[in-house]
Amino acid sequence: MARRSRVAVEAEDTELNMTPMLDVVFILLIFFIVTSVFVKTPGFEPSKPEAITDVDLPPGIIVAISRENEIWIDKMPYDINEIRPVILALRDENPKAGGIIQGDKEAQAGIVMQVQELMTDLGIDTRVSTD
Amino acid sequence: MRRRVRHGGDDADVDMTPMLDIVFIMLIFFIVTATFLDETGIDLTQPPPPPNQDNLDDSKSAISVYVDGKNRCSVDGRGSDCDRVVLTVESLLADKPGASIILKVHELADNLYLVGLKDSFDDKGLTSKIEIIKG
Repeated sequence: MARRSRVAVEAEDTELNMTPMLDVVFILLIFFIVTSVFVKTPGFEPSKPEAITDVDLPPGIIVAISRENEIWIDKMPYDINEIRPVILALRDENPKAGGIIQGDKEAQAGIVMQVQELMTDLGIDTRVSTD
Repeated sequence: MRRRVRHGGDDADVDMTPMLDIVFIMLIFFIVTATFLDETGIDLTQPPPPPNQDNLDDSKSAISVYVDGKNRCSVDGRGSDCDRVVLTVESLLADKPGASIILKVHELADNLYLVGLKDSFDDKGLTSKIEIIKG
């Protein structure tokens, strides 16, 4: 009898209690879901200029400027005069996001700086993306 | 038999393996995609010019680098090859140390030169101020 119960207890002890592991896994999962930011890619891949001093940028509001100076935001091209409400809407969705301007090598410098100024005025910390 | 029924919790009928599979897949998906989007870039933002000091800057010596609408570069009015601009500026700095560098870029110049020159100056540790020239 005694032996039997000991054996029985040992058999129960080797069953793995997975509750703590599930707790950790769920917490990690929920953490990553909550901290994931849905970044809207511009829909256009410009050929960016190269830079030596470039640093890694966290994803945020991405604006691409093509050679023809079309401004691509969230898969739609815009003109420089039309982008303010679009960027405002994106900023309101994600207030703490940084801005990234992917300007093509042959995009006009004036347009790039104008977009940067617009985004900075809206309170978005903006950088120009390079290769 | 009875023991089993009493400790019903130990003999869980629910097989949790599929749920764990899904949870792990989702977890690994989020971990991996969290590192996928990789952008690198440089800072072209300018601090806004303070209203009073704007006049002072003109009196201090300044080296002006100009890129015109056709992407031709010049340093202090003398035409130069765009690749050699930084070297030219460095040699000018030997003559007037502490001069501020003003990078004047025409609005129609290519982004390549704006980024390239600013980056080259940053690489050498020289601060430069960007001005867009309209017209």
